[in-house]
Amino acid sequence: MLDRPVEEFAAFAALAPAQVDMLVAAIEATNKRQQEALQRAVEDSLLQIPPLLRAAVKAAVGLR
Amino acid sequence: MTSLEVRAEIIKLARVLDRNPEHLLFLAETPAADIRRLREATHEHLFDGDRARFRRIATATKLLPTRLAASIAEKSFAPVFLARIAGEMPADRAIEIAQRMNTRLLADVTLELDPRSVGPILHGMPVSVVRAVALELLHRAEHIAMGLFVGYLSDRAIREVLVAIADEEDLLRIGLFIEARERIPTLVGMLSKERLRRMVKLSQDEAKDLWAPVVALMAQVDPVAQRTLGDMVAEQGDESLTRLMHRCQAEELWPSILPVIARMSPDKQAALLRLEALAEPDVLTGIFTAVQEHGLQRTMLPLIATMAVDDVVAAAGAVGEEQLVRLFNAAESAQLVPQLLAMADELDDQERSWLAAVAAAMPEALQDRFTTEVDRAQLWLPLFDIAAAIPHDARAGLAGAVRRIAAARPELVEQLAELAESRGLADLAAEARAATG
Repeated sequence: MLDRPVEEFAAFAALAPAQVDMLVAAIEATNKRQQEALQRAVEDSLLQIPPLLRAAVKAAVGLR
Repeated sequence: MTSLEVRAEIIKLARVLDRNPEHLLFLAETPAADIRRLREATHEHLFDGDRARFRRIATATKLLPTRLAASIAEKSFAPVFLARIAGEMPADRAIEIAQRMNTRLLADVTLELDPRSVGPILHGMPVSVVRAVALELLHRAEHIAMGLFVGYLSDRAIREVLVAIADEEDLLRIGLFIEARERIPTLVGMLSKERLRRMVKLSQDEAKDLWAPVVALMAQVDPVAQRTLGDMVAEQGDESLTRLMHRCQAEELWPSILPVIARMSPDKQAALLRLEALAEPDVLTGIFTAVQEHGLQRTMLPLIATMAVDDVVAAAGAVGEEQLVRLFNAAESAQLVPQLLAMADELDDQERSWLAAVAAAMPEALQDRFTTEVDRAQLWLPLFDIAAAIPHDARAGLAGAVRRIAAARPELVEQLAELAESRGLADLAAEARAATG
């Protein structure tokens, strides 16, 4: 999940498996929450700008 | 033992994950650097996935005049969206646009920025804008975020922000989370003695729970500032020092505070030695365990010597033999004496003198226990090396102990006498031989 060598997290091997699972779940939940918040923010923001600019920004962020 | 750094890292990670720090206390034994690495990797995971699309928008804004870009940003874009775009812009362009935006929005955006982008933007931002945003963040009690940003500010910006933050309690709460610890001495150097004294006074208010931030600050500054701050705590009176002892014991802060205590002025150390709290077995065990676990033997040696030197004992008045016995018991259970002797090769002459002063000033009963420990750990040679560093007269106490152990253990006599002679300590060799002669 995290794009770093496993050795960087050697210290976490001392944790119980359930604790590691909890950390992983918390990171994933944060990621999901932030992605959703960002998506909402992008969509809300686009509604506020002139149509011409909106089309350009939509294209840039890959929205239809 | 949970160090202050580990606690601060747990709180910072909990903030990123939007969790209660209590739920991450299972990380208490994980090194602070590893928790920090996990936090940084989490940031990468959160921010790196969709950078390309925001980079395209950032590139597109180059086509707009700054004023127009700022106006659209301010009126139409949500902070989290702006933060992602700003993170993909060259810092100077982001700064240009930011200067035309209102402070509240800037604070919102700052909190949403990828931490890797914050540095270049904050570093180049005009001081007046930094100051205004800092005050807005302070108004929102964003101490953790402010602690992260300190490392990116110029000295001039830090100075301005410090002046703008009127309440020392805020400074302490930010200080606990400063990521760039190497800046702390500079930052503390910018504060007047009056402000430092107010910080120390604030720690007295138990309701504010500020001992940990004060101790964290004291632990991070240079030796001169450590003495200043340590003395300021002592100037608050015995009650203050007692509270410090008890909080350090309860919160396991000894590794952070012991180097500060070792640097306090001698009269303040003497005041500390008078404290009843310092004679409590739990406190002494906590201190010596921290010395042993964190390798603070050499840092603490001058203080330990001070504890044993007659004139300080006399000045302290209340530090009698019973207290020294308790002190020795704690040192013994932490195996401090053998450890110090085992380090004898690394000690300089002054440090050897200090150690010898400890040995010479001990009551007879303790000297016998001391030599028993030396014998058990086979550390006679380093002991004699240390004895050779002190004047003949000052060796009288040690001579008595050598004589007594030689009398009790005749099989040691020749070994001790030969070792003593090999170090030019004819007096101690004669004592050993006289015990059985």
